[in-house]
Amino acid sequence: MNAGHIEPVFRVGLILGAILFLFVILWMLKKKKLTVRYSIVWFFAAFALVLFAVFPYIVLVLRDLLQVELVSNLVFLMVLAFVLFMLLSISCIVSVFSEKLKRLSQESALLEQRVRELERQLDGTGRESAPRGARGGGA
Amino acid sequence: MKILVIIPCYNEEENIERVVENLETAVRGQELPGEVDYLIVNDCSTDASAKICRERGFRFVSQPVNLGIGGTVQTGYLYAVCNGYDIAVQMDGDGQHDPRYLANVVWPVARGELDMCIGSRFITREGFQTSFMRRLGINILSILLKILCGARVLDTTSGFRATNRQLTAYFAQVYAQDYPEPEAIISAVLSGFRVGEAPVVMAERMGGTSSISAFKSVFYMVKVSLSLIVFRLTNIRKKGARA
Repeated sequence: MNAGHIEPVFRVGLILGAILFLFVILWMLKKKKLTVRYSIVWFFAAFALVLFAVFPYIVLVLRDLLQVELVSNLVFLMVLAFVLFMLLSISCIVSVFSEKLKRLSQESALLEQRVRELERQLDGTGRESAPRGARGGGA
Repeated sequence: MKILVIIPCYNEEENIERVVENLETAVRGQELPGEVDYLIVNDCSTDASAKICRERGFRFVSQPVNLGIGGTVQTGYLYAVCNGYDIAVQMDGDGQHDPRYLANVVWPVARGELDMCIGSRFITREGFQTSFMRRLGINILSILLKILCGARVLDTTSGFRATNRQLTAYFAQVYAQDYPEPEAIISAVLSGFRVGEAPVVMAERMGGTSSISAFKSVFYMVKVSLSLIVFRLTNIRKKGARA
């Protein structure tokens, strides 16, 4: 239970995992599956993971500073906080996008109507299916 | 004065023709402050609504994706702003709203007494009064609105409402997406607009299904109440400010 000692095999695994994570991010960037704008925060996360895996001493010091009993608890706490933050920020991004999408569809719908109206005017007398606008009232 | 009747339409192939015909007849039969145009906003219907509108030569816009009632009505408000209408009236595409009462909701706005006039079926209590559970929900929202912003509105979910030029422009910028009617009231009142009601008679829908099924109604109440409270908490009342 006494932290401070980490099995070398486990440590190698951690380092490899963290590096793999970093490479997945790079690969997604290369394939344009991820834009630089949204990759920054993931880079930081991957970098932190690599750092923790290579120098577990950092986590141990952090644990002593924050007086958490188990190292694993501290790691879980940090990961959870990060995931929570990421989820919230993704909800935020989705909200902004849905607002933009809404405005785009609305403008596109109005433009389509204008084009239709203009085409009808250009067609002139050819067709008789003129949109009726329920003119009337007032009198 | 130019008046635009906005008719949001989602899968209303059974009703849309009758709604437009009734509107045209009703407009001829009543005294209104100006010329009335209508605009059907087709919210990406999956049935023949768009086809009917095209064939019958109705004036309509078709949204490329489904935006829900809020975004659809807002498209109508945008159209009203772009085309310089003085009054925009929202009227459902399912035939619930009787266009013979158009004058009731339009005149208070035309005379400048109100910025938004909501057609309410609970003033004279005539016609279709909806189910007990719905009335309960509407009453709860009414009380909530009264507490949150002081507005006295009985028919909080009525989508039969007229807005003047300023409020139309405001709604074209800010309008809730999911269940927008109660939220539109609080957002208008807090921005300093005058909101009131006029008596109308509503019918039961002629065909199709309502956008709010029994299954969704609990979710509806939670969502609307929450959004009203959040809206009140995050917005400061603008004293007498008119957008």
